[in-house]
Amino acid sequence: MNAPAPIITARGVVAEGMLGTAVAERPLELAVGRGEMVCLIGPKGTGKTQLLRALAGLEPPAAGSVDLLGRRTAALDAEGWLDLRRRAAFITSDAPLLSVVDAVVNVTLPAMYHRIGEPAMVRAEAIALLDKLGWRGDLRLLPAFLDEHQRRLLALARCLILKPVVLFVDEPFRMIDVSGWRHFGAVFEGLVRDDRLAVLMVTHNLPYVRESGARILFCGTRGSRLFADWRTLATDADPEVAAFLAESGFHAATVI
Amino acid sequence: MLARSDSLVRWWGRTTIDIALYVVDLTVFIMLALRAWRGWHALSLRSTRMTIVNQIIFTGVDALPVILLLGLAVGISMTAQLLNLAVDFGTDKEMVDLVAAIIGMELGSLITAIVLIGRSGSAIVVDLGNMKLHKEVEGLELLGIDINDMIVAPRLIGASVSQMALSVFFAGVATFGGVAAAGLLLSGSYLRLITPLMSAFTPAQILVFLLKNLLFGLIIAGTACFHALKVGVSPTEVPQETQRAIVNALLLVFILDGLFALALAFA
Repeated sequence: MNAPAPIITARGVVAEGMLGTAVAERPLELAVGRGEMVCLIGPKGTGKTQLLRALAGLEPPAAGSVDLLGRRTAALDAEGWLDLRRRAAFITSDAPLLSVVDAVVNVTLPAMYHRIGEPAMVRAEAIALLDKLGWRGDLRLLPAFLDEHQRRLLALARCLILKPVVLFVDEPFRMIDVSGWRHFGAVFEGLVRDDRLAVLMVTHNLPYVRESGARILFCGTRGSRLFADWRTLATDADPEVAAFLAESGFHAATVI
Repeated sequence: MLARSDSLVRWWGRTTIDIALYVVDLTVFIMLALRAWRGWHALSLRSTRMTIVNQIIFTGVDALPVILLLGLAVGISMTAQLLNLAVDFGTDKEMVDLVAAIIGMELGSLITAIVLIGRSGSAIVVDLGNMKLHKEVEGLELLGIDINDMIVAPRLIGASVSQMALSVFFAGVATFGGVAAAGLLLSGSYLRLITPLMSAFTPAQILVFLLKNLLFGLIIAGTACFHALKVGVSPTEVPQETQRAIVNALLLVFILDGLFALALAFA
């Protein structure tokens, strides 16, 4: 039996703004299928967010090509791009919500816009989804009255209500405390394991990366390298990887 | 001296080209937004429907008291004076035509547009500009939501409907209220003009009046949305774009009004 086609295939990809730098010397080759998680880590200024945006089809790569859900991202027209966004969700590091509508409308809005169901059904689905994600709070509140953890869960829920196949997340653990990111981490693992979502995330949270068991895409000053897991990364001989881990507080004794 | 006049010509030429390019950009922006609108399909979506309704309430209904007040003020100060001056020179029909053309057709549109630019145009820029600043617009686009369809088009439609309705209201108050004021304050004989005034507006004039105000509404909301979506990453851009939107909308409304007047004069 043939293996299922990957959801994302990147060939020789160099992110926007990285052409002409040392990063371009080692372009990215990557294939990601359903139920897989890839964490993009690395020092600042190595183009992780740009790479994630290129893989998500938000920006054309400076070099190479990306096939997302069977479509070449650079060849998409405006309509195709909007259509793709329903199945390839992207949450930016700000995770912005619509400030003028309450929590539950923020979640139901995309489903209503795309006419996924009747209002009552969509609302019930949104509440069930928020419950599954572990959201606690008053659904009638505007985003301004919610804490960062609640806002990020809403941003995730409003993507998930469209039932995407792949989820791109830029720094999902930013500005949330330890219990918050542990909760989020468990949510992502559940989405990968139970819902077979492909998840690609940029993160600086190395304890989470170590615990998640995800593949790791290390973005360094000379380009990106894919590691099968944390152990492979931690035992790699590349001095840049070792220096990055050491700077992040992972020393020889604790790195694995 | 020659060098100075040369640089003046260059400045004039560059400014003209900039204005022309701006008008082209704005026209394309408005047309794309209206093309993206899904019509009845969009209206079936509560949030889009509510955006249009809220826009009409804010721009139209909430502005009724100020338009009523301005209409009465113009009626008393201008219509009554105009009648008082014209009574020695013209017939009743000429006086009525004068009031209908100047107060009803011209001032009605312009004063309503000025109020809407200051009130609703600026509000749209601040509202949408802050949404853009806080990445809310990008967040919607990333969910496959067409901003033109969901945010821009409802505002264009709401503002156009409001401009049309308010200018009709203003024209009515300023002309009939003015004649009534002249009758009450100056001489009761002016009240005889009320009946001919009712038939002074021909269907063709009303059609042109509505078309002009529809375009004014599109310019007011279009300029506001166009500038709001230019806001980038700095909060200081919101007031800057608000000021640009107001000035440009005023300029375009007056230019368009002049073009309409010219077209009618030659028609």
